[in-house]
Amino acid sequence: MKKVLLFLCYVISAGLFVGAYEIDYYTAAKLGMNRWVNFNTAALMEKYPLDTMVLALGVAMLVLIAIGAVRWVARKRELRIYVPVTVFAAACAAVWFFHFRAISGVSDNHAYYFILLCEGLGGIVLALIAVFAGRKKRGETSKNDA
Amino acid sequence: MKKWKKFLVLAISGVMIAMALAGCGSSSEKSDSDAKVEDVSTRTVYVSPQWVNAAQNGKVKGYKNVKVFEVTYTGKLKDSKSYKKGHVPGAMLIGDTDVEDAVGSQEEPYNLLKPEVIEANLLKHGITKDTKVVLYGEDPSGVARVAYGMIYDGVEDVKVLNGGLDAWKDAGYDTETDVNKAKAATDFGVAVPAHSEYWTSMTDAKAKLQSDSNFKLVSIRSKAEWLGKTSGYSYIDRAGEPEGAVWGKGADSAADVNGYMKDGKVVDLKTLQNGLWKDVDFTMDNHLAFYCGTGWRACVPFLICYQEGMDNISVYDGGWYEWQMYGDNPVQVGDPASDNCQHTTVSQLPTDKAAKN
Repeated sequence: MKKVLLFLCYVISAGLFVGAYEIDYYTAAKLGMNRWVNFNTAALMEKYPLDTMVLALGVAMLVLIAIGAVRWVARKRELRIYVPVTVFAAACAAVWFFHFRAISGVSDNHAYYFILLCEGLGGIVLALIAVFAGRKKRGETSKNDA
Repeated sequence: MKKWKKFLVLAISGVMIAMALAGCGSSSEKSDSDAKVEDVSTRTVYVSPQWVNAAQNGKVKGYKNVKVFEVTYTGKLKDSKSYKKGHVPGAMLIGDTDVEDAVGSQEEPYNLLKPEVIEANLLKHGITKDTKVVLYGEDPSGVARVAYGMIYDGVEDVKVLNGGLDAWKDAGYDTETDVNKAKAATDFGVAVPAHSEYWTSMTDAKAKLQSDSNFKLVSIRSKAEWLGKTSGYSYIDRAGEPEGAVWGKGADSAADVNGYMKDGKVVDLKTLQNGLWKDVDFTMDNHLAFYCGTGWRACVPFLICYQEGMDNISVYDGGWYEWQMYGDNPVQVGDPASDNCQHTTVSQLPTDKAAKN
């Protein structure tokens, strides 16, 4: 059951990254989609503080990655290889997130909110995998499956 | 007998040599070094692939250093699938977003960027007022948009490969996949915009509709858009036309300029006057301010007229998109020549006319 859940989480994360890529690609390639996204994002921006929400998403990702990384460092001999790999992948997602936010924040395409949303959520799912995989179960004393 | 045989051999050899020499003189499908290309002037916009090829090979006087650009929406390699698949040899990339706004706010509703910004973007692509530019791309209206932006800012000689890459390939020319990058220039050479007269703002359009009987605001939108049945766009909720506009036809939908094309190529003014514009409510003596939804389609008839030397032309850049942003703007819904035409304001329009994706 745990393995199934783990697999599903990886699939969800991958789906979110692919979604971010597709939004980026199609809003750049298709004028109509780009302008539809701009129109609807403008309406959302009036209702919600999208900039703040995106920043909060990025900060949440960083915090979870940090927890996951600390847990791995503390228990690395007991944890399987996929934990550090997941932490690394989440860290890469975070770097890309903030880099894209920095360059797109000065661009004129509102699609980047949706791109960052997908990308940020994908990174958070990966970071959560690392956080839960690295936790010590109650009463645990010996090497344990993550 | 021997003499007769000698004569026969000589005669056959002579015929064979003559045939071989005649074959050397004929040009192959791909070799058109002797082909005559059309004469063009600085104002000529739409040119043939043969002309572009000859210009690139230095066979057209004054066009030795012509720069060819493929137009995509962003002009970035990662977004330009068509460029990566294969492009005109030597072609570089340029984007519509190099000349126009990409956000669509009320302050800049997908209009041309500030002239200084266009200038800076053109300089990044190595384009100055004196650069001989050839543009092409998948979307004729997108290409026309960039050409219009360049002319507006001050580039004196802008050509468009009529028929795009398909015409290039049909002419038998090769494509390449090498990525070519422009060397930036520093001095544009003229104060920008050099041709502000080609750009009509919403304020100007409204004022001239009231005060100048020679001014014609020409909608080149599709029939459904003209009659107010649809806005034509998924991101525009209201349908209608500015009060006082006349119809120039030209599109079957918001995404094409089929009325201005024949066999994949943009037609000339004479063809338009004898066909699509035979029975319209404007003449070539009027000041014609073309508009559409957001300014792309309108650039095609602008260029058709521009290349004939007409200067009594412009583009109302904001189009219906900008007009319907202001509740007090007067609108007409339906054919103004009919009794069914509704005359109202934007704020009274229903908001369920967005096109479905």
